[in-house]
Amino acid sequence: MAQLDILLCEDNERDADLTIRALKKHNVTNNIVWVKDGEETLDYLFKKGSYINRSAIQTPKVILLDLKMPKIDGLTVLKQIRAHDETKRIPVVIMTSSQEESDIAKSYDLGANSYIVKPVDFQKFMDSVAEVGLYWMLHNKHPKTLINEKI
Amino acid sequence: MQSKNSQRIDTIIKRSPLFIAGIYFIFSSIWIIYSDSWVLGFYDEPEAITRIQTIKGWFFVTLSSIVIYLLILTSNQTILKYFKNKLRIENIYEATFEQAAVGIVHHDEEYNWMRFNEKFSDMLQYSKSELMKMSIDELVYPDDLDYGKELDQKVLNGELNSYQIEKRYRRKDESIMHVLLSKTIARDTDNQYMFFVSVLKDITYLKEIENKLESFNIQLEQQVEERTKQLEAINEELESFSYSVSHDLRSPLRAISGYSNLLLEDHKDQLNSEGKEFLDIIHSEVGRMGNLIDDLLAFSKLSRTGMQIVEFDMDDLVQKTIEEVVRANSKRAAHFDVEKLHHVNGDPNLLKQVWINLMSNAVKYQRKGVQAEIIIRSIEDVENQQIIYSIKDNGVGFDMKYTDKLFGVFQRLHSDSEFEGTGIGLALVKRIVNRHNGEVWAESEPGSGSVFYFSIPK
Repeated sequence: MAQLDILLCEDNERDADLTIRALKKHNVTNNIVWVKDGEETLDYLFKKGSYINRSAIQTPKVILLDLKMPKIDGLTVLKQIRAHDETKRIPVVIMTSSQEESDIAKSYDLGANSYIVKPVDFQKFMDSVAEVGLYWMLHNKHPKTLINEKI
Repeated sequence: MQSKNSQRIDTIIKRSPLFIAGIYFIFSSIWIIYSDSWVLGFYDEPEAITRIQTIKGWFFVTLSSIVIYLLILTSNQTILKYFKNKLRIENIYEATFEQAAVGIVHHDEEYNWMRFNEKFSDMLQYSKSELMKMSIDELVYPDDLDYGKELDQKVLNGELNSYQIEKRYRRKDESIMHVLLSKTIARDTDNQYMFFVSVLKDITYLKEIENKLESFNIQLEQQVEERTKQLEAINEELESFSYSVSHDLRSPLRAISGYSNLLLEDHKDQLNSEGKEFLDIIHSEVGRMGNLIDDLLAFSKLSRTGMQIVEFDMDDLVQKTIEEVVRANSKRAAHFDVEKLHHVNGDPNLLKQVWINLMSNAVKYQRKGVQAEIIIRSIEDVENQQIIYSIKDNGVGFDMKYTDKLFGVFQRLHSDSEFEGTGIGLALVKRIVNRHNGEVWAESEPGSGSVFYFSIPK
């Protein structure tokens, strides 16, 4: 079993579906896990709740994170990711509909690696998802110890 | 004047006896020396001389009595005139003292009453006899007692000639009376202290008005604060509303766009040409909706974000904006003619948006195959202390009867098939210019271009 490529955190089923389709269609990856809200994201990353038995290899190479999610919002999730040793080196790409300047600024302050505004136009959406996937999966050089040595 | 007169009277009273005696002495001496030799010149019989001497003696007594009478009369009349005048002045003073519309008090340095007028006792609601039994200190509001006495001491020492302060007194019914107090000391003819003179004007009603005004002010401030809070709450609501618009309205749109595209891509074979055409329409309408949402968002954001008025280079801003507009409209030919522009202070980011929208319109609303000729100028409106900027084009123009629609949100004068647009551009222009306390207006005729003006106060 290969290491997990992308953890997709997205509350909107349609957006998630379209994102996964875009990634598959452009042959970026098939190895994606989709979590539906902030709480599930944190459960997955820190092996809690229903993900208590998740294997270490399932730690993602990239996290695609929506900001506006039920229960725990994206910025709080991002803060948690950056606060823990086992997740702090994972690249986080914010993918959201919000163009609010404050959201963009806060995301970078909290250590986001990219901020992508989801285009309404499908073609542009497909392109940007594919670009993000390709860049972070193929072109970006990850540290060898992305998966923490402790594991 | 008074003291000069009184000095004269002093002199008259002191010196007139000596003066009268002197005159009498000179008169009698002349009589004694000359009367005998004069008589001897006419008569030489001893008998006749004795008789004449007797007559002469009586004549002397009569004459000297007349002289003394006249001298005393003149002197007394002067004195009488002085005292009559003094009495008259005293009467005037008395009447003034009692009839004054202000309270007047005379007291000594130990704060014993010497005199006060009826107005003063009326002001404090006491009768004259009641007041006489009380001490002055009892009437003064305790907090104001020491301050007043300090000032009195300064007047007594000569550090101050007089003073005027606001002071509080207690009326008989325990209510507080606010008074404007003028105090000085009365001096005698030798400029020596005699007693204190206080003049008191009741200003309680003024104080009441002042207090009322103050409480109105406080009330008003509270109201403003409340309204501000309400407005802030509304603003917050608006903010979360536009956040929802940007986030929630987009995602169903993205789904429509996405799935209609997937349909077109993955199920092409099952669609006939009309079906494909419908999907194209869905696709372009979704795009339009997306633009509308973006513009609406930009418009609502404008009223929420703060403005920063700074000094900036208008020529530079316009030049850079032209470059941007030309680049964005590379398919359309446009020529810009700009003269040196007047400078104003404003928010350069917002004013750039104004220029972008006006220039883009000038480039866009053009007949096919005609190069846009755009002229940008500014003039100083000295009377209204503002700069008026203008941008003139040779485009399609518009009918002036629709001019009031021009700057409304989502108002359009052209169909989308003629010229694409969301109808937000000029509404944005108007809002930005209005936020700078300026005005925006336009002149045009269909087919012969239009001129857009906006003013910014200096």
